[in-house]
Amino acid sequence: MDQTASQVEWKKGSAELLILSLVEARPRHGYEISKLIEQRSGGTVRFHVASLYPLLYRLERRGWLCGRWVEKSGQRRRRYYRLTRQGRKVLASQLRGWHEFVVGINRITEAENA
Amino acid sequence: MLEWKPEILRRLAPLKLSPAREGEIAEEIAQHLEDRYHELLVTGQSEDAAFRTAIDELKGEDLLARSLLAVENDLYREPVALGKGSSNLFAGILQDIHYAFRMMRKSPGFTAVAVLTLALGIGANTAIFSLINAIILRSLPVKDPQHLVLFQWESDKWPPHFSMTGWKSRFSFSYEEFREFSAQKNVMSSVFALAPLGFNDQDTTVGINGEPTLADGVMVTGQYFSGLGVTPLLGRGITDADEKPGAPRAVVISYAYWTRRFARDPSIIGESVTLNGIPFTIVGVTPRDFYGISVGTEPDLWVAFDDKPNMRPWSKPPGGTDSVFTERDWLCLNIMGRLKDGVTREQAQGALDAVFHQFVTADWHPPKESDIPHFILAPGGQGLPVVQDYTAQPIYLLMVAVGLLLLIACANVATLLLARANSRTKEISVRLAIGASRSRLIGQLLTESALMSALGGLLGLVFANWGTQALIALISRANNGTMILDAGTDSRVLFFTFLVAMLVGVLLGLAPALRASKADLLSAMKDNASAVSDPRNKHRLGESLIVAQVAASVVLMIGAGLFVRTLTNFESHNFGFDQRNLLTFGLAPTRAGYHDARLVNLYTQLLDRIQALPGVRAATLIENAPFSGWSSKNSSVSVEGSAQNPSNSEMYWQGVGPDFFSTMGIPIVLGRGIQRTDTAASPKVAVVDEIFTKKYFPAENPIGHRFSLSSKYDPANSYEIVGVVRPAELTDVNPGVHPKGYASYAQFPKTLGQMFFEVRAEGPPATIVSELRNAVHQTDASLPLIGLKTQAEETSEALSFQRLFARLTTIFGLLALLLAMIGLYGMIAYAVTRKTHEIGIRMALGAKPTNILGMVLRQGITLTLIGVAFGVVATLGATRLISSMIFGVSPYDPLTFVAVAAILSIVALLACYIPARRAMKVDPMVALRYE
Repeated sequence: MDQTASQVEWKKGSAELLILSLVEARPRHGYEISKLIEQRSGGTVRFHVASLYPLLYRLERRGWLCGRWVEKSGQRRRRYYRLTRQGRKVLASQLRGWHEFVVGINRITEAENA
Repeated sequence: MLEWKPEILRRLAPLKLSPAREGEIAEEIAQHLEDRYHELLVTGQSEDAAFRTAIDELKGEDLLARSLLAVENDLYREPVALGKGSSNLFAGILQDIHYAFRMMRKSPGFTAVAVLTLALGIGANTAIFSLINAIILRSLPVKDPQHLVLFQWESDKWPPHFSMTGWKSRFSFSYEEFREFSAQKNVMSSVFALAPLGFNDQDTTVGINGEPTLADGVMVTGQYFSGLGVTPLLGRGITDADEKPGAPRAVVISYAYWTRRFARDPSIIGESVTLNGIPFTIVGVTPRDFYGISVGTEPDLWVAFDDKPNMRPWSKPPGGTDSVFTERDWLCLNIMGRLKDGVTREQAQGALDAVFHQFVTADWHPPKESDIPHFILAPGGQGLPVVQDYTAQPIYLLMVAVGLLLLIACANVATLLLARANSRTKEISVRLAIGASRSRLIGQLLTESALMSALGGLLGLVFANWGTQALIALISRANNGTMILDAGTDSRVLFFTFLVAMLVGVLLGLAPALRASKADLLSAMKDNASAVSDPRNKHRLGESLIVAQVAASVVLMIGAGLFVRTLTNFESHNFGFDQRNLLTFGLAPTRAGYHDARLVNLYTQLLDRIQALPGVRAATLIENAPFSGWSSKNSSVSVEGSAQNPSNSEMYWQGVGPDFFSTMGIPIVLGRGIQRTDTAASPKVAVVDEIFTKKYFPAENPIGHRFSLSSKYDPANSYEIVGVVRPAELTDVNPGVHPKGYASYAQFPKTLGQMFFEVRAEGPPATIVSELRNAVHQTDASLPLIGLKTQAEETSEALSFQRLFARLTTIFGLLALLLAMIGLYGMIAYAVTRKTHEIGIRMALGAKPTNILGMVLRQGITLTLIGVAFGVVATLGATRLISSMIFGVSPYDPLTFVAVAAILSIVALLACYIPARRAMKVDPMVALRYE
């Protein structure tokens, strides 16, 4: 597996987790999600339009997200995504998985380096 | 907002998404790019640079489409966008049905009314069709009925010396002819014949353990059962061996008789019974569904052909020199047969016609060759048409009536659907706008109406089942319980119902579908407040449907009115004799061995005994009880001394007992009645009615003149006229103008069979019934009383067919009225709702409530009157068809026409008044706000 391909896979796997966790607290629209990812990762992770929205739609199709057009006074209507009950379960299990994975990686690397 | 969307849409184009979905994605992404653009401007970029950076988010031309492909096309199921073209026909139909169900659930009241209306219409049609199927279409329940043939002849003139007996002379043949036909073994695999044992229904006395009962018997030739291909349920059928002289006497009984009389005793085979006093052995029981060869009748028993006293076809009294087997000129048999394998009906007809021609011309040479009757071999799969002949016309008429009813039901539901289609114009326009094809939309609307009519058809089958049962019970009652029918629902009935329901579905859906699919998108979507400037022609269709409904109801109601008037005319008709407190019953003493003088003695003795009973005012005898179903004999007549007999010189005549005219209440105008002294030993005398004297003795006193019952005056067999009486209808309920004559029964004892007693009671006839039974029983215990009832009952039974018909047509007429009025009410109510706005404006401008009332009523009444006019014209053309079925009333009876038109107009006024009152109470302020 060459480097680019592995990066893509990694990003794909983590992207779902990132999006789900970002809408956990409250519903957000697509631009807000992309901004938050960029800001919180310090600019290292960025989603452009052509990959973000297909991903959002896929999560919506799976029933993990629920999108809804919301009109706020004085603004153009935007589509907000919120976490569904099923999405919440998926997020919890993915977080647990990541946590275990990170702990496992740390143990291995710490043991090697000690 | 900058022009992001064209950029996005271009990239989405390869996905071929639905317009709705495409627009949604484009809007969301455009919003994103716009946000990005403004952010970049804030960071100090130039507008141009910001635009390019933002567009760069789309990452080339095809990445967005590629990323969306998996999501949108495979995983994404499109929301139901109705009417959109689909590549999958079946999925489209399923979708339509699914949607149609949803629409029906959405308005349960509308659906219930429409389905019920259709169920009534379809149910009535299915019920009548079940009757047609059972009586006219269905084949005999025998093996390969299509190979059976029915022997028949056709002629304008028939050898004058032949006498015929039976329901239909054209199916009658003599035994000699049967024997010659049977010999044609090269074309027929079997030929068989039959004749009833008795002259009347229930005319065979069956002795079971010494107790006399009555039954319907049939005489058949040896190949009857084998030729029909009927295998008895128990034992065997009648065979050739049973016809041999000296063979033990065998009887086969029907399943129904076995059930009724022997409680389905399986050991019945071999038991003995007596038929008309002669011992027989039961040798077989027929299968349950076998009813002989005439639908509507069901014989109780079958015996081999014979010619012995009390055991001859048609209860023929003994006398004459020839036997039934050799009498060439007594046509008493019906003949059927089965074609030989490989022989066509035409080939067999050719061979048999030669035989027939030879037989007829053996002792008769008519001046013209064309006078010779010719032979027809008709298809015999449906058996001998007995019931068909007199039921076909009424049944087809009923079919026309229910057909009209169904049309009204369709028009009614179509009106409802049209009204709904109008309110759905907006929905349909939206669907057209988002890409639905018109053909798909029409399909969708047709699916809705087809589903509705399919539900109506299913419910209609349930209604039809009840209706058919009720009809058969009524018909059976109308025939003294002697007509037995099985009108179950078979595949033909189901197919008919399916066909009708589908036709109805298409008819219903077509108008609204075509109208809706023509919808003008813009105007339809813009508004629904078309109230003020309502184009007239928009409601033309709905209005013509109302007119059609009213017209069809007029036809049905006038028809019903004419039949009701026929019935009341019959009921109030003066038949020329007094029916009050009159009891009638028959006796058939010849079957118990009474003949000649002994027979007359028995009758005289019984009359004396009955007249002596307390509560009896008078008693007499008649050959055929009035309205018992048999007419008196008709015969040629010729008067002594008259050179030229008037054309059509026929008279009806029958033998009666002493005191006949006084007992029946028929006034004697001249001379005397039949007396006890008119016996076989005294000169032959006759009493004639005024119709007779008017025809033959217009200017002179007929008393003392003589006539004979033959086409040429025969002094040796002439009667002297001793009295003249008022005309009386003693034969059937369709009064004729035939001259009538009465002779003393005692003067021709040789030809006497069954006679009827007419007993006039002092009070209610029920009080003397048991006394009468005792009197007969004490005289001879082996004589069963036949059909004991009051004369009023007998007359009423004879009218029951007319009554049934009047009742059915009235029901259909009232149903039609009800449906038409529901339709009218619905249309006016809908128009009022639509016009609320207009009414408000009018009232605001000063119109009074009464003006509004008038406006609404005028619309309804105009439609009704147009409908009535069309209906009256149509009826004038159609009543001609029923003129033979009505009595005492003209088919153009003005009273009926006016009454129906008046009733319809009044009910129509009421139907319009309810919505009109609502219109009157419209509050202008509310109405003007109303959209």
